[in-house]
Amino acid sequence: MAKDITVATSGIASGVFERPERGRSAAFLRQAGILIRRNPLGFIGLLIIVVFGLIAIFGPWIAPYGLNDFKAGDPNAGMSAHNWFGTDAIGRDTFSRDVYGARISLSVAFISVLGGAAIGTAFGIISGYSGGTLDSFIQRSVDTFIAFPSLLLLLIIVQALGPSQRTVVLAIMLGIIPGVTRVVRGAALAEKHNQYVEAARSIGASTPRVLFRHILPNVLALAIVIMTTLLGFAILTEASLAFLGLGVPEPAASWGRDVSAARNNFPLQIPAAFFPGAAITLTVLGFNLLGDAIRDIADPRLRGSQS
Amino acid sequence: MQTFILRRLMIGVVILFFLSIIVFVLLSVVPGDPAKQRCGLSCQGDQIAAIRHSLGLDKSRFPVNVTGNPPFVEFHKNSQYGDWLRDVVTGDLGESQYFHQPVTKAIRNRLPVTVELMVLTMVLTILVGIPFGVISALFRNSPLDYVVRLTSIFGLSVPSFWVATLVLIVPLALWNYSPPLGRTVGFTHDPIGNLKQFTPAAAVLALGSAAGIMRLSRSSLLEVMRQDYMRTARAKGLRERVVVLRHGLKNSLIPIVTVLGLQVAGLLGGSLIIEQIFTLPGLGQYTFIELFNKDFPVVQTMTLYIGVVVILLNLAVDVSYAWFDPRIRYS
Repeated sequence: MAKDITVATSGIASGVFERPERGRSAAFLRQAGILIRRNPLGFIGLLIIVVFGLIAIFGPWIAPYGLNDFKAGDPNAGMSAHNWFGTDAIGRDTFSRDVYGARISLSVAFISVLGGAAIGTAFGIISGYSGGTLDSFIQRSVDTFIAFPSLLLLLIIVQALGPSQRTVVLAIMLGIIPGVTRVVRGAALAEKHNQYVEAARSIGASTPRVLFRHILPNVLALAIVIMTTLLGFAILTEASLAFLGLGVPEPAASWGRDVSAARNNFPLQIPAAFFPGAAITLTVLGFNLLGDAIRDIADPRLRGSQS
Repeated sequence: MQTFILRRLMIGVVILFFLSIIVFVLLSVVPGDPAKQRCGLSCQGDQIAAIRHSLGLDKSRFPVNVTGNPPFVEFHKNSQYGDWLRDVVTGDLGESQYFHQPVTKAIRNRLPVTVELMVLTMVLTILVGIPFGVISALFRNSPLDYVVRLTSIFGLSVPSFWVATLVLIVPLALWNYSPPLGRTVGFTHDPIGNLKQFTPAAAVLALGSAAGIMRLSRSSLLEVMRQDYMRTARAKGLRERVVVLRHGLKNSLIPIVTVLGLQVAGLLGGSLIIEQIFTLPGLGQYTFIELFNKDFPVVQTMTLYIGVVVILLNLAVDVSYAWFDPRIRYS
């Protein structure tokens, strides 16, 4: 039961859920209804993510002005019917820039989290399964990264490689790997002693086969659960880097950089600072709410304490 | 106990060694020549070479280098890493290229600012996080619980630089008020002026950590409430307050203290941004400026010191477990 529900939500989240047959679609809807009633906050989170996802995909059709359209309005104009969120110092439309910002924010977050979680999961499985020297080497490396403000490390990485979208993705990925490695290692350590591993070994399965065909599927649910929350983390990190001037460079629009630009603008434009930050908060909130809900569903042991 | 601490310290040294190598390798690929940046625009080739020499940039980066030809490794007696390590160990940190000031002096001047910010943030985190977490757990599924849980998840989602920006610009735009920026006033000299300066920054920084502690103390206390000894405590007629605080909260403190220790690393990272925004002249701001001006020996030293602080704090946290739970013995 619990497993079915997990599959259902991950299907919804990734948008690849196949259309069920007639009889099953009613059952699916009923199940979704139960799920929503049990986890209203998670459903709200999912809605927020879907809305921002649509904004990111259909940005150019939604934004009334171009990303760097200097003639969108008078410079430093306030909120009006013409420019919903006002304009910045050089007359660019804040609303349009916020819409375009969703693209950078979400694409950077998705790519870095997918990459980071994949690498971290691989390291975690190997570390947990192998034990011995390799395990302690990987774990000490993880300790190194965890014993350290990740933001400073990311700043050093971006400064070292020069700010670009690729660098930002790489830096956030590196920030994600240690945590995922640590969590997945724990799970792999627990799986290692199960009988199915012994059975696979006894019919002569090679170590890579045991790792990736037998242990991986069993720790995958856990990896997906942490990925949802990590997406929020990635968005916050991208925004922080951009705020400090080390994010995805111009001409791309980034929510974090726009907050920073509004801060240094005179006369002060509160809407120009407020709305990009509100967009960051809402998106991260969406991922956190959904992440909580997925964890509740995936880990029935926690259900009592969380809901 | 001693062996435990000793072993942890040894692991700590290994971690710091890893850290220094990682940071050194990263910084060695940074584009731009610090010597050229220091020299200015109208600069001749031999002048740059002279500056490179005086900064030690013409030396090999590591004492051991891997080469393409047999015997595949070459050793250097003088290397940038070796020099830096010696300087850090002997405490002679040289001069900042940007501030033209000894690094030791800068650290001495700026350390109190960062320490005060951290202490204030931690105090706010504990004072807000734990009580609200306990209330939320006690009145589970009540409207109050929902308010606390929503607030905490909101606190985890909000970017601190945005809140800090709004805290500064909204009062400025509406009432033309701004907290005192720039130079700090000592706490002993002018406590009120000092707190006026630090409290907004600490409150913004504490937002995320307090939210995390709120959630954690709620779930941790709920977990403990299910234990048999809680029923026993009630059954023998203890007052509810004693049951919750002495039996419940004390036993749920271990994960809370662990996470508080782990949060320090994140808060030090956050101080980079917050000190920058509130123009507090602390170590975070210093590290950030030096990183931007490609003054790498200083950045390396700062990262190492931050690593030392975090490792020692986490060790202190682990040692404190024995105090919270006498069953834990390190042997």
